[in-house]
Amino acid sequence: MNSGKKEKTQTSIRFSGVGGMGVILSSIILGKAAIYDNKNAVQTQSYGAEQRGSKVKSDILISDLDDPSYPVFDKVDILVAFSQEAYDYYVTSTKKKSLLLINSDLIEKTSIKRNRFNISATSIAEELLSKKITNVVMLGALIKLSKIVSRESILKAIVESVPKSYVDVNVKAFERGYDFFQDN
Amino acid sequence: MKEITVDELIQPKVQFVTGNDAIVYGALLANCRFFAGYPITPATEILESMTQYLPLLKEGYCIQMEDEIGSIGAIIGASWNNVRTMTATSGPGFSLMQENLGYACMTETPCVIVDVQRTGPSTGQPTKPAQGDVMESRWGTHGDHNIIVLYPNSVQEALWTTIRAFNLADKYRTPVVLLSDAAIAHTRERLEIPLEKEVEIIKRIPVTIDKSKYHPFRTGYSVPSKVPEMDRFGNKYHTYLTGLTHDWKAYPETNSAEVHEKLVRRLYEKIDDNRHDIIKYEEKYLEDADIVIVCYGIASRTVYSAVETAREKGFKVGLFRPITLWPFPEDKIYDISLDIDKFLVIEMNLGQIYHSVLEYSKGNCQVESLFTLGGQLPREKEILKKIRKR
Repeated sequence: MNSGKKEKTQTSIRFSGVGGMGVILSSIILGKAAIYDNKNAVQTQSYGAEQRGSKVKSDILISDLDDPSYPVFDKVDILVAFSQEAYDYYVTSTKKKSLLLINSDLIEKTSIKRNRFNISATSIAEELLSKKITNVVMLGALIKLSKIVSRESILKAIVESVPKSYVDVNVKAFERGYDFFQDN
Repeated sequence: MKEITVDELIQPKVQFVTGNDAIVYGALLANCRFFAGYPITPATEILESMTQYLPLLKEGYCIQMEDEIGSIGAIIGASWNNVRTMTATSGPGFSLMQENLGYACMTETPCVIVDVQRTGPSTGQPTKPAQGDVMESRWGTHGDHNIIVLYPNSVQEALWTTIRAFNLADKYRTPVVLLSDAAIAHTRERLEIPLEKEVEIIKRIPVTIDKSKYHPFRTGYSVPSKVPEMDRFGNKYHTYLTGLTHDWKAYPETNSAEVHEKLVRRLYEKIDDNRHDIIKYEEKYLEDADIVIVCYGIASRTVYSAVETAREKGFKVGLFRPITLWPFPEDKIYDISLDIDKFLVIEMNLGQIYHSVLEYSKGNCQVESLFTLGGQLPREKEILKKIRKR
């Protein structure tokens, strides 16, 4: 196989935010869904020593190949930003065609218009339960826009990854995020 | 508590999990039933999972010890109950374990020590990957000794390499160091989990000799081997162990050069004579290569795509990745060195395996290096720059 082919069959996604927002969990859920879709996924994460409040990013590569690359990205295909700090820091890792999904409740200043999708994810999450499920709202929007994994698989992954008593509200959060953007 | 089987415990059979998870699953499938450890980033999840899983299995035990010295002491002792044992730590803890690691070498006690590397020296950067313990894993404990060190580069390979670590430990009655790093430890990938019946278990050679003729370090009486057969404590044979130089009866012999030399040479040879069985590596595009990249563990993951890109650009680049770091695949390095212009050694330290490559290529070709520090994985751009430089 050659790397030219790899570029076509691999998608790189960066989730970014602040510790405690569920940034890493959203990438794990996405990875699980990719596995259920019988794809390959490689996910890494980086965070500070604090449990909450430090800059967090999680990179994931979703691939149809048996031997996917390792996610060390200079530029990503999709950037999901949960907060202003994360946006400011990682917007440089996007390229012309990158899809940008941002949480407009926490990101007011933006420099890029092209392929940028705003969702008021924190407000939606608070309406349903609390800001804790912002990440699942974002996931819903991401799946609708990118179709990177099937709806069925991502729902299965969400159900498996959240506490039992919060399954219903998380599924609702996903649906709200999913329905936020029209089909294009 | 109701006991369950490993097959029942590890569900489903395809998972999206970390390297630490894979090591735990590998250990359980390899029939490891005793784990002692002390928490340390980035190895803590191994202890956590073992605490959760081992008590559910028949005769499974997990202890959180007071420190790393106690942890390795516990697994050495437990191993003498004919149980497969493991501990897991990172750099600072691995340094503390070195004395007892030598005791395991000297008493020929099978056990597996996982070192999930982070940057050092000292406490360094707990969450950042590094490959700075490669020489420590070989030479960290004092005195002449031999040891087996394995280093996988993916979540899937971590599972199978862990299983292999246990088999080699029992087969050669030696501690085996399983290296990992903060990146493999926390990278999630697709993991296909075998059933217990699909996992080969190589057992220790049991003692069969008449009780009156038994001596703990007598070798080669039922199979021709330099590895002594192994009984367990509390069984019918009387076994005495010491870290002092001992003869084949296990009696301390602290004055005889002859006894010491005989013992230490055997400790070396029982591993070196079986290099063909122990050494494992991956090679790619060696047939026509002018430049061969030597890399291992996590650093190799970004090298694959760099090799593909370089070949597309017309550079004849190959890849050699030792999975067994020690004993070092020196013959293979020598053979490759005869046919190429240059080795490029890529590692996440300031040059450790680099020196072995330099040593065994015996001046037949150039040896260049690309070292990264501070948790940085080698970048494709930098690798290509090194390849272009002729």
